[in-house]
This record gives sequence, structure tokens and C-alpha cells, in this order.
Amino acid sequence: MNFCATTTARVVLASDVVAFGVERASLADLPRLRQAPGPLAGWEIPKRLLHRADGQTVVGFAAVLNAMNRWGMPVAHFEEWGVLAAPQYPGRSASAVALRKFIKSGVAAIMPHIIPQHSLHSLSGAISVALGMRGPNFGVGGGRAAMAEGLFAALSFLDDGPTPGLWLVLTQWVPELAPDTSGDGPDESVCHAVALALVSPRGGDLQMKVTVPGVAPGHPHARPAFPRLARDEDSCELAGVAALGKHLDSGQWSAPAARWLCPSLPDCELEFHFASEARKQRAA
Amino acid sequence: MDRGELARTLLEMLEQETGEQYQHLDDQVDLRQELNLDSVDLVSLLLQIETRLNVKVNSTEVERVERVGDLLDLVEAKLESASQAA
Repeated sequence: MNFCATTTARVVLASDVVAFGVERASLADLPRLRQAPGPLAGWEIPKRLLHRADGQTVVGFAAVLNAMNRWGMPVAHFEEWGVLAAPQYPGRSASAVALRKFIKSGVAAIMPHIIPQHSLHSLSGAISVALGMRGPNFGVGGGRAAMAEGLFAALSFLDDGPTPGLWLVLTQWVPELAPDTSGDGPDESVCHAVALALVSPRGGDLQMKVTVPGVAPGHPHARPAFPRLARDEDSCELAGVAALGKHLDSGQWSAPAARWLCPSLPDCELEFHFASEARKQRAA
Repeated sequence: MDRGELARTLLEMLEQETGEQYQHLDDQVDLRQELNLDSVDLVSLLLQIETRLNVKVNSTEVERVERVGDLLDLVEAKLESASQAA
């Protein structure tokens, strides 16, 4: 793993970011995005890829396309990469509809797309299929701590995994899309997505770093890889994908993106920074 | 329901399943190769057919369906045996 013990006894997990993309869509925006998630020069996206996909899959895939276009990276570059997706509560709307139909009419009334299109691994699978990638793809998290779990899993995978790089795709509805039995959620809900193309640290232009405070052996928090996360709603909103996307889009990276990754370890930080101002300007 | 009417009904269900519009589908069109239906699409379509037309199709019968004409033949036969049983 890309750990390095610092003089302050902290653990740093680091990677280079070779591209990032940010996307947002309200419920009203979803049909348009589903039809046209974004251009991708020289590559044909499978026609019905997003027809029955979960909303978070649609927005997450659009964020990947946004990143590839923004940084001018061709599909071929990612052929051997893996995809790790961390959606928060994926498939809630479709599950609400399926459960209602199941209660009313039994199992035959449930569309078989519910498992492949609306579960934890659907987002990573769709991206992998769409871009013809050959590396592993899987979902992590799925619950309230999805973003932090995604970040920790991605940084761990980069070191141990067999692929040259990894897409990390984080998605979340804000406010959380808690659907009624028709599958409709609050009209004001917006799905946020951030896609990060990560490689092992090699002194690239843009770097991402997660600093986990050191803990003494025997301390209840002596397992720094997956610390417990805050349970209160406010912390989750602040720690969410929306805030991360806003931070990345702002380009104002002098301060840490977040100190809230691990509220039980209050000094845990997520940072992005360019290696130099000249490199930042070149990337912009 | 005659074959023409059944074909229109199936076309409607197919369009609903795929989200695409088809001007015309003749019996020779391959469901998997030409319409790009995968196994999940096909099961979903058959569930629609079972619910809407009140017939039962088993998995062995599904395996033999390759083209639009095969599907029409299968559903037509099912409707006919259902009407005879009634």
C-alpha cells in the first residue's frame, strides 16, 4: 500500500490523479443525460447502455466522460484499467417499485433488470462494459459511508491491484432520494458524481492524499484503514460527493478538501494539490 | 388475435423493452444479433408477454427462440392451445 509514516506518526495514502470529472443532474435532467451522457470521440457507446440504468449509474458514467473530455484522454488509454464505484444507496427508486409490484402481483411482476442495473456493482459494470475495459470492476460501500470507503478501497487497490490505474466513481443524491412507493423521490434531489482517474504515486501534475492520524497499538482506533464514520446527517452531507465535486471544480486547493472523512478520527484529511503552479496552469 | 395483430402487440412490447422505435420487423430479424437483446432483455420481454397475454412460456421453449418469427410462432401456439383448453 502507498503508506508512508511521517514524523508526526500519521499514515498517508496517496495517488496521482490523471483526470477528474464532475457531473450533477436533477431528476428532471436524468432523461436527457440518459439519452446523451456525453460525447466520446472515436468511440461508440453501446446504444441501450443506460436505458434501464439506475440514476446514479447515468450520472456517474457522465462524470467519467466529462473527465475524459476535460483531460483529452482516449478510451484506449484505459483499456487495462479497473473501475471501482462507490454509490450511496443505489437502486432505491427501482427497489421501491419492485417491492410494491412483488407485494401486489408476486415475483413474475418484477423486471429482471433490477439486479444487473440497480445494485451495488451496476455502476462499475456499466462503465467497464461501455468503455471496453478489461480490468476488474466492482462496487464498494453502498451506504452512508460510501465515499470514504471508496477512497480507502481505491487507494489500497492501486498498490495491490494488477492494473495500471483505476477509475474511482463516487455518486450520491442530495438530499437523499428516499422514494415513495411509486419510485418518485423529492423533486429537489440532485445526483452528484465525481470520477477520479487514479494511478500509483509517480510525481504527476495532480496528486491526491488521504492522511490518517497515527494511533497507538491497542487503541480502539488502531485499525486505520477503515475507521468508523459519523452517523449524524449533517456530517454526511458535508462529507459528501457534492462537496468534493464543488471543491474539485473550484480549483482552490490550498486547503484540504475535507477533514470529515473519518469523524471518529478528526484529523483525517483529504487533499488535492498540483505539483506546481505551472503544471496547474498547463492542466487548466 | 390474428398473427398481424400479435405482431403489432409484440412490436409495442419490444419497443417498450428496448426504448427504441422499429419501423418494421419481419420474421427473419434475429433478436440477439440484430436487435441486440441479451438474455435479461429476453426474459423481461417474455415476462411482459406472459402478463399481458396470459400465457406461460417455459425456459426450454425460450432457448429455441432466435428470430422474431420464432417468437411469434411460440406465442401464437400458446394462445391457440389456451383457447382450445377453454
